Amino acid sequence: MKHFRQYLKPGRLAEAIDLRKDVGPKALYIAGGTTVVPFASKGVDVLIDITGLGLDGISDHGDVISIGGTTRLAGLLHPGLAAEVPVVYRAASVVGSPQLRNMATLGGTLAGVFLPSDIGIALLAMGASIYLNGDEERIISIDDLLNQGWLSGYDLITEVRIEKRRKHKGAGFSKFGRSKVDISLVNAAAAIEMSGGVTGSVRIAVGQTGSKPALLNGQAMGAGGRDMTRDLVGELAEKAAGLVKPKADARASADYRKSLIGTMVGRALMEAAREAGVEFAD
Amino acid sequence: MADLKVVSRGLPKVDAEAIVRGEPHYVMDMVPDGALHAVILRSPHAHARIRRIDVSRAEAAPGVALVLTHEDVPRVPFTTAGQNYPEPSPYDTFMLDDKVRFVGDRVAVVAAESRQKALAALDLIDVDYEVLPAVLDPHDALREGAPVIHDEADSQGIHDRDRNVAAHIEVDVGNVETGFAEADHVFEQEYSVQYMQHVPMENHVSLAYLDDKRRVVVVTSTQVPFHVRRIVARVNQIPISRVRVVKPRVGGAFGVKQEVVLEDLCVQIALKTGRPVVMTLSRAEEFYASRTRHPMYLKIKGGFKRDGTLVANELKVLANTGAYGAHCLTVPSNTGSKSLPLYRSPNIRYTADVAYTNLPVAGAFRGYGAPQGYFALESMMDEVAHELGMDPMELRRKNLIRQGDEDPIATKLGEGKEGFARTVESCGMEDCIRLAGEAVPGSGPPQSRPFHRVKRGRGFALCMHGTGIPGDDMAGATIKANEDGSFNLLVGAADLGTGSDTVLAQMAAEVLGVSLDDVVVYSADTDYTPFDVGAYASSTTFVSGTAVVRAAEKVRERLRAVAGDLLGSETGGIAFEEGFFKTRQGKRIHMKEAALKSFYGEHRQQIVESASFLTMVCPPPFCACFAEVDVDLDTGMINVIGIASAVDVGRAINPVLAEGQIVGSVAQGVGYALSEEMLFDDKGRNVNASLMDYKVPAATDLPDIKGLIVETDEPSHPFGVKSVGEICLDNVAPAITNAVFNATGVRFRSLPLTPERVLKALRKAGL
Amino acid sequence: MQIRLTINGKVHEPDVSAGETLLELLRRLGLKSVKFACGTGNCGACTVLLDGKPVLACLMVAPQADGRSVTTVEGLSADGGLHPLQQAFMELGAPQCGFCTPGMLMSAVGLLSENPDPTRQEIREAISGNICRCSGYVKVVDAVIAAAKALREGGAGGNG
Repeated sequence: MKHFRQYLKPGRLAEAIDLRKDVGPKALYIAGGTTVVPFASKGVDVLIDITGLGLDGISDHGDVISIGGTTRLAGLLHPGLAAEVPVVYRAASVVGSPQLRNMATLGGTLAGVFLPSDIGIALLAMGASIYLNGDEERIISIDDLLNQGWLSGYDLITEVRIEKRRKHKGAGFSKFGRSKVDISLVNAAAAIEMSGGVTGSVRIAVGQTGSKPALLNGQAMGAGGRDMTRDLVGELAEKAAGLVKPKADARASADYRKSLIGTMVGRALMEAAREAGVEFAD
Repeated sequence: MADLKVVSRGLPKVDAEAIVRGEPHYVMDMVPDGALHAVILRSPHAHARIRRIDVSRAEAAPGVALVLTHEDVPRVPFTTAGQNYPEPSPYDTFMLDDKVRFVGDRVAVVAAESRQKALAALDLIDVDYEVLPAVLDPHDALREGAPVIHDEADSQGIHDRDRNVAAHIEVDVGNVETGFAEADHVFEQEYSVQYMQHVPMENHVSLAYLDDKRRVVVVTSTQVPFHVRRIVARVNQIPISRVRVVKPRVGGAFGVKQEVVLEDLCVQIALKTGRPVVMTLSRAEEFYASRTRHPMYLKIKGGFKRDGTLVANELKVLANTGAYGAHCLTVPSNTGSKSLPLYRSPNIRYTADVAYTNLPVAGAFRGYGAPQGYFALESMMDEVAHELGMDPMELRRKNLIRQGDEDPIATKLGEGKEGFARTVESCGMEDCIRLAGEAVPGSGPPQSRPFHRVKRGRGFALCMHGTGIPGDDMAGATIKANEDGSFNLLVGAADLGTGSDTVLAQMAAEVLGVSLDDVVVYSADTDYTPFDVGAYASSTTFVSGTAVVRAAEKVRERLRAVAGDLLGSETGGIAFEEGFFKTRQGKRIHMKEAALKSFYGEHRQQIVESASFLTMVCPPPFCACFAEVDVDLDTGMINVIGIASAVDVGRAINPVLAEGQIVGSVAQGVGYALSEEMLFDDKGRNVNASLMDYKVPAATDLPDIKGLIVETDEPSHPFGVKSVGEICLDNVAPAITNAVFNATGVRFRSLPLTPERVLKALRKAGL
Repeated sequence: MQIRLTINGKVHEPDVSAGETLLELLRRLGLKSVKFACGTGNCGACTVLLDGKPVLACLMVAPQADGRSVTTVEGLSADGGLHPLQQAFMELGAPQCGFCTPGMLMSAVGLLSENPDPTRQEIREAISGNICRCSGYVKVVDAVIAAAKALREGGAGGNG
């Protein structure tokens, strides 16, 4: 028996936000519930179910794909998404177990307990846009969202928009867990845009569950204008491992995470580069 | 063996259909409405005295029926270990005590109308602890001046209380000093193994209530109903005759339920309140407040001739038994007695110190000390082969025990008393080696990619185990005939999902000439079934099975006599073939007709026969495990891409169930080798007491494990059976570490090989 | 609060509290096949189908199932017969202690409803959220392969 006393399921977004404002901090939005149900603090009395607001679904908006905030992760395993935003598809396919993917929602993984999530890191590399509603309706970058850590105030995520893949643009994702079904000890994603046959922009996102993700700029790391080679990838991976402060906890030591960061960034970059059309000599 | 009809068939278990239908036969499915739910207040400290405990606020809380502390319950020192009486484990445990000895130790118990109300009342118990210094490492526990964990005056059977030595073992065969002096090559190394937990899917759960004669009925998820009965009666100070223990379906055990974990308190609460009470462990409690495998430090020293002949073998063990000494003598005894005989050696020494620590309690866990011993032994053999430039299998073959050999250590190392001689009457090791080796032939080189470099390797390990505890394991069986030619088979044996009900019924059906459907099994109820030590020591098919066969033979003889009457012939002239009793002249009567006539004919009677069997031998099964692994040089992750275990089981009464035992125990062995480890902080708290952070292999973490059966027809059992329940876990870890060495040249001497540890070692080796 | 949900084809309108998990509700309604083994969503013993998709009942509060359809193992057999998955599990010796079996079966049902001809690896992935401590998974995978074949060849009986 959990400690919640009241469960509400509004039918309209405005109603959900009003309810949240009325009750205050004793209320939480619940979508999949996979982190709210087991981990909500004892102070939370009221659950406001937001899965009845029509915020699920995937739609095509020309250059971008829009994913509703309460879309289940299993819903991201969609052939359309695999074609248009493969890095999100790949990240979604390694989150949790099949049952958890049927329950957890995209918004939930960006706002829940185990931050930064695998999908969050993939979206961070992609520079996704997050549509929020709560105090007010607004759009923020994923960088800002993950930097602030938790959703503030009465915000909930209504939509996430990601650029579709294009020629010469690619993204990659890599995660390391202690077993095949595990939260990440370290995860990493990269987005590369080649320009005139050489490296253009590189965004590298690195996450360690339980701390703020890092977003690194490949150009600032000296990659801009250079040939995308295995050696450059190695150089960037090593630099990344030096730039991200590894955390230590019961799951892994700082030293180990540092090694993993280098490897996961390397893997993500290789995948991104290949998707951007780079062919590596063997 | 003559054409078998029921034995040697992979028939579905007698309870398989009820299982797949999800029918409610576990303890938690049987809790009556209105039962009390009791929960335990557990110590937050690793070592402390309870100076004062005030439960008045908890007693007054809504829905609370009873709160008990050490002031309210009998103080009877006992062991929770489910073993024969007198148990070879110290009596160092109390139902509730005024001292706590590990984080999670019992402090008090609350029984209330619901689990929620009981949990809420725990917070209302005020305890004044005097925190004492704690020891969290067995080396520290043995040091001069270490805090004494069992300083109470009334414990019994502790080897050296003031030095925290729960048990001590010293066994010599020949003279190892002489042996080492004669050796051309001496190898010496230390290995260490970790805290592993059984993780049964069903947490411990016990229900107790008073029946219509005010006897206490305990319905509990247990391996050892008869030991539970005896122990709870004693500690609750009531006669054994006033207790009935029933084991319904058990959701996995592997040794963790060879123990009194909850039943003693359940009985106490039922007696005091007169009401049914159920207790269960949360998953977190299952980790730190039930039982674990014994962590050990193992120093092994082997003396070899240049040609690889083993001339002296010495194993020194420091075992950590945790805060209480359940199985503290017998598990470490098996570490030596199950492993060292595998290789012939004229000189053997085995010594073990078993230390108390202020950590969770170790107990029985599949393999029972052997996995620890084999990690050291089979690592040594692999290392020495490498050092001598010999083929690792050739080194084994040079020294392997053979059919006809006597186990040199058996008489010296029993389970807490003198052992019994053991001669190897059947040995299929060569077939095991061949089959397992062929099943993991080795694949080509792995695919390496940038930032994902992989090395691949193959390794093996051998082992032998035992079958039951000679001079100790005893089982009874009763068979009652019914008028339709079906039989009720009553056995005390405990089916844990292992299928013993089915296997025992198969043996009875074979002897009685009927089909499996004609044998109705009822098991593990101390009021109705004969005594059985319970499901441990890989004994059931052999020991309980022999009792079943004897009882069945007696019933068959009774039916033969009935047939003789009906056919007008002396019983000596009556054969039993294909279900018919036949005279030499060819007159015959079907067994079922004889059964019917036994009820309603002229000399009507109830045919019911019992038999019991005490085993005096311990025929070893043999096993070879081959493993192929991929080692990710960039993360340290080890992926077992192929693993096979071939085992000489004597005979598989039910090959499908036997395969299931092999594959399941190998899976646990992979967890032991690669991922399973209880972690503690510096205050003795188990910090990963959840399935999120204690990593048990899931379906995507394992390849298709190959379980292969070899049969050798052991002469000491009517159907040639030995055992299969534990052995295949024993040699998995060294098979894997030997494969990792083959892949990388890096030797691991500590388990588990977590990715972090592996990467650190790989980097150190320059990879 | 009162909710309305369909369980194994039958409509129920129980009174539930906001804190009651779906697992507790189902067991309270007599569906004892749904097991409590960890309570943190890591073992899969409480797997049921929610509108045909495998979910973890211990991680849901009962009101989340309002208006939805739940299937448990008890609902797998039409007319009392056995679903081909149950039949295959039984015949091939997949269940040992049986505690993980109901959850395992439901994950397999969910898989076969979307992928009627899965590979062994796909089966392993589908059951990767169901911990079995007894079997090492081999016979479970064998049984799902056999059941998938039986269903493709028009295996009779059972609600898929």
